[in-house]
Formats: sequence, C-alpha cells, structure tokens
Amino acid sequence: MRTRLFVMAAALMMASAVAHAQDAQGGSQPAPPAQATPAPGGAEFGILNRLDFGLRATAFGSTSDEGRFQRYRDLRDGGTVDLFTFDKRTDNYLFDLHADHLGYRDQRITAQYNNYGRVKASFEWNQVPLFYSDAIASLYTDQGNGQLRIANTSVRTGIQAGTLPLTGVQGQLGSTFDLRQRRDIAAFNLTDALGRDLDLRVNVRSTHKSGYMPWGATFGFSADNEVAAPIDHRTTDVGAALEWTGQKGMARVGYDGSWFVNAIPTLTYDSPYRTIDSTNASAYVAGNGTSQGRTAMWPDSTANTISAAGAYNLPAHSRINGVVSIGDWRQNAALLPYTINSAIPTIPLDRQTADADARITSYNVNFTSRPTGLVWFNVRARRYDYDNRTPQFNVTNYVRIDQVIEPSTLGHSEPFGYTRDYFDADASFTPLPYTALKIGYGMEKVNRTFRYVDQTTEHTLRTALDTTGSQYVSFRIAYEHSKRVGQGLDEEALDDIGEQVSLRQYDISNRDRDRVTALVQVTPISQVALVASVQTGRDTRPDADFGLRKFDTNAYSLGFDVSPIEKVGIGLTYSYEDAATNQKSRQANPGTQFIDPTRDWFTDMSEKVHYVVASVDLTKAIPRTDVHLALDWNKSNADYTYSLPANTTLATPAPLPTVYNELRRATVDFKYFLTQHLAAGFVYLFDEYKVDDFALSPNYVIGQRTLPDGLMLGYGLYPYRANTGWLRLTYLW
Amino acid sequence: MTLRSDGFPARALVTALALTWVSAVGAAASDRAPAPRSTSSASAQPANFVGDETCATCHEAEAKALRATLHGKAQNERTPAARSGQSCETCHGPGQMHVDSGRKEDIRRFTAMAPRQASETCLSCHSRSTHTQFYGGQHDSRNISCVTCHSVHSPKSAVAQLKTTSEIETCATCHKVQAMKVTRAQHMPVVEGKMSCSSCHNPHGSTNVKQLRVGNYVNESCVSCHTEKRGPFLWEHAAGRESCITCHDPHGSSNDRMLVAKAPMLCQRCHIGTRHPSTIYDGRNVQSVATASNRIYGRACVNCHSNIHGSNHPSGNAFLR
Repeated sequence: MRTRLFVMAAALMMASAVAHAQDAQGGSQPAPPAQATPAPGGAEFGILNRLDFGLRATAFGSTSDEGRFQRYRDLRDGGTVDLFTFDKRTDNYLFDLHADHLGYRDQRITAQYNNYGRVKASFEWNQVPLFYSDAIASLYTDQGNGQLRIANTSVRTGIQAGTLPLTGVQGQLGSTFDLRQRRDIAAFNLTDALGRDLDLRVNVRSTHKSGYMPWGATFGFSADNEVAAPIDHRTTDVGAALEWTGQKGMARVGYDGSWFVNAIPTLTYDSPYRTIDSTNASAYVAGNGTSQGRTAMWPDSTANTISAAGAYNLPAHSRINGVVSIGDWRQNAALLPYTINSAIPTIPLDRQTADADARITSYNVNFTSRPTGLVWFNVRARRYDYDNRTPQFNVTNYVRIDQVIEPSTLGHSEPFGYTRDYFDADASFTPLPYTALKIGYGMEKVNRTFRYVDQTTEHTLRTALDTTGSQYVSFRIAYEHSKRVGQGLDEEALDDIGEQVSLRQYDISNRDRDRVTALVQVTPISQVALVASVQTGRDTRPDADFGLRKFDTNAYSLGFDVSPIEKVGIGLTYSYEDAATNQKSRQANPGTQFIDPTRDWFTDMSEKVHYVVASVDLTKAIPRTDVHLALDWNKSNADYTYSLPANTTLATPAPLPTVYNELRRATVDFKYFLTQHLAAGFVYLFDEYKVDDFALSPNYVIGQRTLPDGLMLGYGLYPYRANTGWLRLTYLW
Repeated sequence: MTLRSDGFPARALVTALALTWVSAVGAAASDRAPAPRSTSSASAQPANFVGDETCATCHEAEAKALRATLHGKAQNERTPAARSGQSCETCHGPGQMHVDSGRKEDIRRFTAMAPRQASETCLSCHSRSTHTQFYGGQHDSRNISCVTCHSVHSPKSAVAQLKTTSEIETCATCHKVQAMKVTRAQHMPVVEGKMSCSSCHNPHGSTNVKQLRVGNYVNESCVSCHTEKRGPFLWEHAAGRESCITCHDPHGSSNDRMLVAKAPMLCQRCHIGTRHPSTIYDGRNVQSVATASNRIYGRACVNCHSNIHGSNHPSGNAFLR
C-alpha cells in the first residue's frame, strides 16, 4: 500500500513539475515554427523509441535446478514485453521512459525528466527476485506473524518417543515447493537548480523485501532444524541536500534518514523433536527439552545523519575540501524473554528493551595541489568514529537453545566500537611527458573496544608508475607494502572466552602485506587493442600462531579487442586467478588437551579460477542485420586440505573432495530489419552450471535432507542446463 | 511529529515532497531565461575566439554530436552551449591560432593534454554532487582523467557518455579481477542487469574507502541495502561489526553467501577454542550419512548460529537465537 502511494505521489509530482515547467517555458518563449528548420529532438537524433515483444521458452536438462538458473531473473515461458523505450528530446527538455520484463518478477520501470538547467527528476521501480530453490520440502506450515507450525504431530511424538529416527522423517515432508524472496525498490530523485550555483537534491527510496529464506532454527548439537523463514521488512530512505557550487568552491548541507521496519520481528517454531516442554542438562545436545523455539529476528532501527561539506579553490591549481557528518543508529526493540520453554524458570531481564545506540561521527579533509605541470600532491586526513553507546547487557544465566539454563561465561554483552583515523599523503612527479611516478604513504590507526587488541596501526608505502601519453602503449604498475601492528594486546581477553592465547584473529592481527598490480595496453593500430594485467598479493601474519597465517593471491589476464571496420567488433579475454591460505587450530576438549601441541592441525585452502569472456558484434556488417554473439565461461576448483604435525596424536582426517564450480553461458542475438521501423529476430541462450560442493551438492549427505543430526530443507547447489529461445519483433519509432 | 505505528514518518515525507514540488515549480516558472544562443560570426567573439560556426566548418560531426548531448543544451546556463557561440571554445580554448595555422597543436586537445590538465577543464563545471571528491581521489592519484572513461563527442553508452557501451566494460579495462568475479557462481545481480559497479562505487571519488558511494566506511555502504544487518544489536559479532568484508567477498565467489572461504574453515580462522569450534570436520562427515555432521554440511556453523550478524535475543550471546 505504501509503495503504491509512493509511486502515485512520485508520478504526480513529476508530471506536475513537467507540466508547470513547460507552461513556464511556453510563457517566456514563443513556440517554434512548425517546420522552419529540422527540430533537434526529431530526425536529427535518429529513432529513439522501441518496443520488443515476443515469445520465450526454455528447455531444461534432466534434474536441472530451475531455481538457480533463474536466481535473480524470471525467465518463465510465455509472452514478453521488453526493452520498451520512449524518449523525447528537445532543446529544452528530455523525457525518458524505460520498461523491461514487464509482467515478470524481475520487471523494472524507470522514468527520467530533465528540464535542462532547471529540474531533473527520476523514478525507478525495480523488482529483484531471489529464487533459492524449486525443491524445498519442510514439515512446517507458515501460519503468519512468524509462526511456523508442524501439523503432523505423529512426527513429533514419534521422535520424542524414540520410535521415529530423524532419517525416517523423509517420507513425512510433503510436496516440494519453491523457496523465493523478492526485493521491490521504489526510488525517486529530484534535483532542482534553484539558481545557477544552487541545487536542491531530494531522494526517497522505499525497499520492501518479502518471501522466505533458509534459516537455521536449531534445537541442539544433534538436533539441527532448517526452516523456510518468512521475511517481510521495509526500509525507507530519505535524503535532502542543499549545495552551492561556484568558481571559488562549494558548500553543501545535507540530511539522510533511514527507517527499517520488520513486520516479522520474532520467529516462533515448533520443535520436531518434542511436543512437551522439559529441560535437562544434555537437552542442548539431543534437542529433547523444549517443544518450541523462538528467535529474535532483525529489530526495527533508524539511522539519521546530518552532514556538511565545503571546498575552496586555491591558487596554483590547489583545492581543499572537507566533509563532516554526525549520525545516530538506534534500535530499541522490546526484548524477548530468555526462553519460550515453559519448563525453565523465568530469568529476569537486565532491562526490558535493547536501548541500542551508536553515534557515528566522521570527517574527511583533503588538500590537493598541482603547483607546476611536473608535480602533484595530495594530503588527506580522515576519521570514522563508531561510538557504540549501547549499555552492556548483564547476564548471569541464559538459556541455551531454549533447552537448558547455563551460566554466562562473560557475564555481559560486548558493544563493540571503534575509531579509525587515516592519514594519507601522495606525491606525483612527471619526469617524462605523460609519465607519472607516484609515491605515497598512508597510516591507519584503529582504536577498538572489547577486542583482544586495543589498537592497531598500519603503515603503508605506495609507489606507482603510470605512462599514458602514447597512442600505442599505456603502462601502469603499482606496488604497495603495508605493515599492521597491534598495541595493547590482552591475552586474558582471549582466555576469558576460551580461546588459545596465541590466537590472532585475522581481521586485526599483525600483518605484513605486499601487493603488485600491473597493466599494459598495446594499440599497434587503432583497430586493435591488446591488454594484459597481473596482480599479486602476499599477506603474512608473523605473530599468528593459531588462526589465519598466510593469504596469497595472484591474477593474470590477457585479452584483445579488434574492430577491423566500424561494423565489426571482436573481443576475447582470458583470466586466471588463484588464492592460497594457511591456518592452524588445535582439536581439544578443556583440560590437558587444550595445551597439547600434538593435537594441532592445519588447513590449506587453494583455489584456482579460469575465466573466458568472448564476444562478436556485427552491426549491419550484413545488410539490415545485427548479430551479437557472446560467451562467458568460468571454472573454479577449491581444495581444503588438512595436515597434521609429525608428532600428532590425532587420527588422519579423510580428505575433503575438491569444490568445483563451472558456469557456461553462450548467447546468440540475431535481428533483421524488415523496415526502418520493424525488426524480427531471435535470441538463444545456453546456460549451464556444474557444481560439486561437499557441503551443498545433492550427491553428498545434504542430498538426504533428513540426517541423523538434523532436518534440512533441501536447499543446496544443484546443477542445471538450460536452452532458452526468444522469438521477437522489435518496433522502433 | 506523529509517527505511524510502524515508525514510518509518512506525514513528514509527504510534506517534504510537497515542498519540493512547490520549489521545483517555482524555479521552473521563474524568470531565468537562458543565455541567448547567438549565431554570431567570428568578428563578434572576444579576442582569439572564433565562434562555433567557424569550428563546425571543419568539425561538423563533432559539432553535431555535441548538440545531441547535455553539453549542447543552451537552456542550461551551466553548459558550454550557454556561452554565446562558444560551445567548443569553452573547453578547447580560443581557436584563432588553430584556425590561422591549421595545426592541431595550436588548440587544446584532450587526447594530448596531461591527464590532470584535462580533468581540471571538466571539473571547472563538473565539481558538484558526486564529483566533489575527485581531486586527490584514487583515480586522480593514478593519472586517470575524465577523458580516460568519458567521451564528449562520441559516447557509446546510453548514460554517462562512456567510451564503452556498458559501464562494466569501462571498469573492466583496469579492474579485470573484480569484473570477472561478478560472473562467478555466487554473485550480486550485476550480470542480470539489476546492479552495476556504480551501484556501490563512485568512480569520481568519495569519502569512503575503495571509493564506495554511500557512507563513510565499508559497513555503511553494505547496510544501505542490507539494512536488516545494520543494528546495533544486543549481541554483536565483532568480525562483522569490524567490516563486512572480513567474511564476504562483495564482488563474487564460489562459496554460498559470497563468503571468502567455506564454513566451517572460515569460522575456524578466528574460533580455535575447545570442543566443536576447533574440531576437524572431514570427508567422513559429508560422504556418509552415518558420520554426517551438521557442522560442515549445508551452511555449516550457520546451521545453528543463524543470527550470525548479531542477535537481539537475551540468550543470543552465541547467535543461536
């Protein structure tokens, strides 16, 4: 309802502004003569309007995952109205209307009105589907308001009595169904030139997300439970800014507001494992305590930010600019009780609402100067302060998975916050014409709360060479070395949460990083371009005993574009990418095992990816005919390899299968112009996805759906092969 | 201000929209006639300027192409065309010397100018809104100029006057790795046409890292669309609050949910404690039903720790509820 109001209001606003603007023009300028000279918005611009309509059908290979094929698209069989474009341009205004995939789940409509130098308004309605799977099965029925219930009580009583094993539930799941969600976006933008130097900008966006998603609604270590969780939430964003820009500089003040409202803030679901509430010490393992579970979904929240920016042009091609913003993120949802399990005594809450609040302050100051043609330098200082003011939530005892009371390890929540300070300085010299040598230094200092390191400081040295003046060759290379060091290491903080004290969490650990990127483009003649690029990176964590220790990446690319004549374009690019990591852990129960190095183990991850992108465009190379051929192919192999030290006391792990993904897409788009206004054509799309993923492919245990330690939806990565054809007519006017 | 029961400030928004409309109508109706387009001859131009007609004598195609673009709309007093007969020379400089000698060296040519010099010309007008941070930005620091990506006279794209037909082709010229990643099995809907590089990035510079368009830090950009993850929450996941890209690759990956590595191995980079977090889950746990483990099949750790981005449940300290 709200979206429809927005759409109507936005359309009325735009139409009215258009009408008034045109009236104003009509009042101040005489109407142009009928055909004295060719109107610039007409034939001079060529045909601007088009409409595609046709028929589409897809043939799938056997056992294809039709959901994954259409993941963000709606390619159902049937009639299509596509690529509708209405474009009217004059010397005074432009009006543009586009519509794609009308009537389908992924339809999109955009409209733009630009009264040059006065008003610019745009509107967009965009539906983004997400099709998880067409083969989901579940015990649950959605009864609305976030209530998921199991109608088949015999499953619950059978499991509770021990007469029905989890693997036996398969036959009780019922018919498969589609699992999908959709994001609907309505966005309106307005820029009003109040004067030559003054703009008012307003934007409003409403995003509604609804549908279902896979969600873990566990009841215990051996009692996993995946459900199709309903989602229904809306985010409304409003922004406004007043900006003055002149020869001397600019100034802007602005406001941005965001409201997130969740119509399903709580998810409540029957337990398939029990019909009667109870509790016992091991219930969190076996799932045999509670008859229901309840999860707090995302709470309503708001974000408000005001900002001010300014820039001033200085002599010697210099400029200083700065931006300051102050924002507030807040949510104060009512807190649920510790548990829905009636067999567990009520635990008093530390407070009744979340009272969560973060003040976000940031500034960014930038000074740039080019005093001579040979020298350029830039200095930037930036601060981002996420000041989490949420009071700690004190907990003595909590309820684990709605099954059993447990004492809290820490005794309170940890409202993480941080302040990031950056300083960057770069200088560029031009020793040769069109060749710039850059050196730079950057420093990032981060202060954090509730992490095992109070502060990290990262120093970065950068250098780059860019030569772009030759029409035959351009070359770019950059090298970056950075070193991050932590201060205020608190190993006790790791010990408090039961971690190895020599663990270094990789997002904040000490780290040495080296990166090199290089790109060369050779254009021996104007019709041919060859491009090659290399990128390599090395991350080492010298002080990390446990955790991620190494991360290496490499990427190579080689391609060409050839356009022997204007009507022909051919392109081909091959790329290769690999990544390798190493991490260390220790398999241990509390006690002596925790300090036993013979229980260490290592994981090496190695991923290799190949890509090929190719295209051929023939635009009227054959008379009256446009042909577009395209090929997209990528293949990745990832291995997760365990290794043990020589003195290990652990059993040898069974190797994990290689994770394999391959995507192939080929498109043929043929159009023949019967007349200047009418074209007939066809499109053929071949789309194939092959996958072998030990966690999500049906040929592994996940394909069973009902397993000794869990009931799953059947969501996974399934292959598909699809051949889609469109017959279409294109009308242009 | 009275809010609706769901907090949506409908009345305020409608009021704001109405005020905006009034402002737009008022501005459109105000007496701000554009600078008259003069077909003045060269002799009426300031010293060393020759006028558009003279330029078009030899450069007819460029002149015609310019009129088709926003640069050629004289009604907009901010455009080159608004200056009487100086559409061309506003950017290319006085043309008298070039006319007299016929040499291309005697006029400002953007293909021959130093990149920052070229950018400065464009930025003398295009210095507002999303272009205010170009100076000193990452592209500027690498000698990328406006004309590296844009064409004033012969654009190929439908919007933004790019030299290529699509935005991603422009970005992929240098950012091959990222452009290729968006085609991987798990990706944002870029190849489906629902998003583009500029949905997240502002190539003209920004106050955020990596030239992200929205906000002042990575997470602000991500939660501008994934608002349900904004929080703040009662129980925070430090890695996520630190940065979304600790765990996710926003350009694409082969892993479900665009994770940088598969769970549980990803989670086990930071969770080394006792019992199940530090246990090896191997081939036996995915290939045999008898030894299957929900800590590695499906979504692994997130099978149970489903509120992994943060929980508002009093018992949500481990994101299980």
